[in-house]
Amino acid sequence: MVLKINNLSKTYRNGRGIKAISFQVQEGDIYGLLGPNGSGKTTTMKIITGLSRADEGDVQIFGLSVENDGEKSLEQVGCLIEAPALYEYLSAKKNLENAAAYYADIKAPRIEDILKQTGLLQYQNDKVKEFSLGMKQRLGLALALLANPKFVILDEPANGLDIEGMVAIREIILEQAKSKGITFLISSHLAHELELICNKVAIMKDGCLLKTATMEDVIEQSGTLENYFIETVRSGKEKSL
Amino acid sequence: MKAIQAGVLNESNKLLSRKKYQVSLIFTCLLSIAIGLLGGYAKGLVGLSLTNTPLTVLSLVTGFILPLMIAMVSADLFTAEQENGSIKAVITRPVSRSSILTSKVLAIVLYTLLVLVVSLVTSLLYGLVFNGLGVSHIAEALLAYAVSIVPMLPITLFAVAVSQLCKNSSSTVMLSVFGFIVIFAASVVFPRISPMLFTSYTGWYKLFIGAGMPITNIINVMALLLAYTLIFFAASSWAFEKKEY
Repeated sequence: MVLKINNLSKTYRNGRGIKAISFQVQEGDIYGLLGPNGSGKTTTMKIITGLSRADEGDVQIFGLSVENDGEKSLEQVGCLIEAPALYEYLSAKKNLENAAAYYADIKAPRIEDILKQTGLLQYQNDKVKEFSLGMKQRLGLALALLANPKFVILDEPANGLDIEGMVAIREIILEQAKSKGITFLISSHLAHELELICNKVAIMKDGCLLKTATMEDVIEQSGTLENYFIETVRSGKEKSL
Repeated sequence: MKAIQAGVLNESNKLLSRKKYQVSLIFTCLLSIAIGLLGGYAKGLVGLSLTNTPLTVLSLVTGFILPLMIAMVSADLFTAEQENGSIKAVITRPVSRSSILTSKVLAIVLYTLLVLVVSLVTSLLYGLVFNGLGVSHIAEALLAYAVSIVPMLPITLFAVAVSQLCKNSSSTVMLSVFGFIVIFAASVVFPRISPMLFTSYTGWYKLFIGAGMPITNIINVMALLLAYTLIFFAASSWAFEKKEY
C-alpha cells in the first residue's frame, strides 16, 4: 500500500474544507482526484504532504503516519502542490541543486538527467522569472521527480497550460510511471485529462468523496469520465434531496 | 545535522544571489568610507572619531544598519517565501521544520557576520591608510567587531518571531523596525528598565575596549541576551511548527 487515507476531515474558518475522506492508492496506480474548484482536492493533498494538518483522520504513506513520523514519511515522496514552489531569482539548475542538497545520493548527473527529461536542459541557466507558465510547470514537475521518488503527488499539474503544455506534462507522467514504476496521485478539474492517464479515480465535490472506481469501470458504465462525474454528482444530489 | 548544513548553504546562496543583498554589502562598504571621510572633516565633532574609524562605523552599523537589514532578511526568508509559496520547496522535502527554521536563522546570522566583516575590513583599511591606525587600535577593533554579533542574536530572533506573525513581507519589516524603535524608546523614557531590554546593548562592545573589562557585567549582559535569544527562538519555533501553508 502506497497511500492510505482514513476518515480525513478539516474545516477552515469559512466553513469549507473536507469531510471524512477515505481512499487508498496501491503501488503502480495513477490515481486521479476529480472535482471542481473548491471541492477539497488541494486541502487533501496539502494534508498528505504535511503542508496542512487534519482536524481528524490519519494519512499513511508507505505505512508511515504523516502526523507522527513527520519528515520520514516524505522520504519517498515528490510533490507539486498548487503552483510550483520556485525561487524566481535563481536559475532552473540552481533550484534543482537547492532541492538536491537535502538528499545524499542526488548529484549533478541526476539534475542534468531530469532537466533533459522535462525538456529544460537548454534553459538550465536561465532565471525562473523569465520562464513561461508551461516551463515553470515542467520545472515544478522536475523538482517533484528529482529525488527518484516512489510516489508523486501532483495538484492540477496541467493548470493554466495550453494544449502543447498539457500534452508535454501528460507524456512525462506516463513515461515516468511506465519506465520507473512511479505511483501517482493527480488532482484535476479536467475530466478528459485524468481519463487519459489514470487507472483509478475518486470523485470529489463540496469537500466530500462521492465515489471511487477503476477507469475501466468508469468507461464501461458511462462511456467517459465526464459522464461518470455528472451521473455521480446528480445521484449524490438526488440522495441528499 | 546534514539537513541543517544543506539548509544553511541553500539559504545563504539564495541571499547572496539577490541583488538587494549584494547592493547592501556595497552600501555598507561605501558607508564605512563615508564615515571615515566625514570623521576627517568633522575632526572629532558630531560624535565622529577621527582616530578610530572602525569603532565609529561599528556603532552606526550595530545601532541602525544591522537591525534594519536583519528585519529585511527575516521578511524575505520567512514571510515573503510564505507569501509566494516558495517555502513549500523545502517544507515538502524530508526535512523537519525545526531544521528549516534553524537553517534560516543561521543564514541570517551568517549574513550579519558578513556585513560586520565588510564594514570592519573597509573601515580598518581606511583607518590604516588615512588615519595611521596603530596596532592597539586594530586589536581593539577586531575584538569589538567579534563581540558585536552577540547583541544581534536577540534582534535576529525578534525579527524572526515577528515574521511568523505577519502575512506579508513589508509588514514584517515595518513591525520589526517599529518594535525595535518602541523598545528602544521605552529604554530612553524609562531609564530604570533599560538594563533589562535587549535593544540597550547594541553597543556592548564598549564593555570590551578600554582599560579594564568588567567581567561580571559582561557575564550578566551575555546571560540576558542569551535568554532573550532563547525565548524568541522558542516562540518562533512554536509558531513555525504550527503554521499551515
